[in-house]
Amino acid sequence: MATTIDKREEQKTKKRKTAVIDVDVHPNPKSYDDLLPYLSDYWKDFLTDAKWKGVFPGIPVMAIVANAGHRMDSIPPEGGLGCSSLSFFKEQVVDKYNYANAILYPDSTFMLAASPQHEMATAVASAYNDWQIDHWLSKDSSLRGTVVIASQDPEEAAREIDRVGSHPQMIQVGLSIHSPYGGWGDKRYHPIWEAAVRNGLICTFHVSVPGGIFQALPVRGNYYPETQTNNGLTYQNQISSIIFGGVFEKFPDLRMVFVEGGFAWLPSVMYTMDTHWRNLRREVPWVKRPPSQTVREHMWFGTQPFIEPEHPEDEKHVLQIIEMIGTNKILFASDYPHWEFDAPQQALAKLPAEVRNKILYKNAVDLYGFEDPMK
Amino acid sequence: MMRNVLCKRDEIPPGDKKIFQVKKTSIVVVRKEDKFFAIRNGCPHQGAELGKGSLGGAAPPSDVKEYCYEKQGEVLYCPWHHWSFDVETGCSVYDEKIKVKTYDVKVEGDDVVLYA
Repeated sequence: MATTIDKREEQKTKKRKTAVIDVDVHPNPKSYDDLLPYLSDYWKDFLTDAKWKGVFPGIPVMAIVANAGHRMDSIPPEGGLGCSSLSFFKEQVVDKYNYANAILYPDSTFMLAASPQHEMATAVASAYNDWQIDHWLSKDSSLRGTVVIASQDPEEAAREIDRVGSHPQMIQVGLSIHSPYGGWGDKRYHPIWEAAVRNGLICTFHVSVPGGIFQALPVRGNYYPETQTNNGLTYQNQISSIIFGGVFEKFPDLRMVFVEGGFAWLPSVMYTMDTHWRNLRREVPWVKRPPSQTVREHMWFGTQPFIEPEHPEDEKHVLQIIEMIGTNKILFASDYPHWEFDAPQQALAKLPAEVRNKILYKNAVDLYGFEDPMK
Repeated sequence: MMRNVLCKRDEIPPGDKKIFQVKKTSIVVVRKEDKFFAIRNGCPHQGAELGKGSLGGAAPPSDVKEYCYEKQGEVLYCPWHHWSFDVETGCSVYDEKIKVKTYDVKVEGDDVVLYA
């Protein structure tokens, strides 16, 4: 009898759809006017008079032929920007793919730090945080939020992290992969890392676009597919800056996540850093551990856009690369509502189930401390 | 242990180094003030001649954005990839597991004598 029950239970478990934790979702206001109540009268009038449309004046934005960057079907039935309705997000993504949790990173805010107008960026970052709490986090306890900051003013950014970082659903600090001044390893950014650690938050870097005070690294691309490919180069540059700048030596409790830049390039960076560290430690004596070890201890990487080799015989290398980095270091990221959205099960279909499940939710449970959705 | 007279003391000025062939082994002798050190003339990394590198100090592990500098004149930097070795112990400055053979060297009268 007991055996029969066990078998039934086993079958039930087998049929149970795997839960998903998505670490990269971008909510938008219905219109940018929704942010105005969260701005002081000064900035409300300033931005209204500047005819603000969510993109700062003076930042050239790359033409994105793919529906200007959004999934064509992501506009809610009642209108507005992509992912501007919680109920439509739930219907289109959360319920369809069996999400247990999603981490929000308000759309476009990865470009705030590109503005040379520090005070304006700081005010807008703060408005996004209050809007995110009121319109999304307080309406669904499964959601987690990102503290939006204007990192071009690290002291103000740290104050903003202290202001909203203790909200129980705030789980990370949001940064762009381009840094406003110098690399992310520069000591001018220490107040940000210090505030993140003080508030128990992870620091998450998201792809941004060169423009404003964001420098192109290493060269400015002419075409969007070229730029998309180059995102990984910017990440490599910044990881090297962070490691040799000694950020984790100074802040040993700091953890970082890198999304939308892929991960396949990582083994090359890890071992190249090890080589140059061994040879030239005299210049960076504060880097006490091999860079590859520090990467494995402090950094995690989003899947999206998941690499899809053209030739089927190359598929096996994708798994090999994941194993080189560590199957516990990769997190599922959809990037909804952006056009490069990855559907969880489908994007990872060619990976073995054990690795796929780690990426879909287990690694996020371990890193962010979510409750295990499959228990 | 064979006694090998390498040269006269003044042939290696303080702060300098000199390469000697002792039978089949190439050895670097380093002088810091009146102290002499002898170390095998081969880097364990890729075999470059350490005696063709430079003498300097060591920057041991330190706090972020701070430098300490010690053992000036007792650290031999490889001419190729700048691996660095303590000439007294033969140990790599950053990884004690990596070691170059050292030799007993003495000044006897006016002679620099190596025992190997």
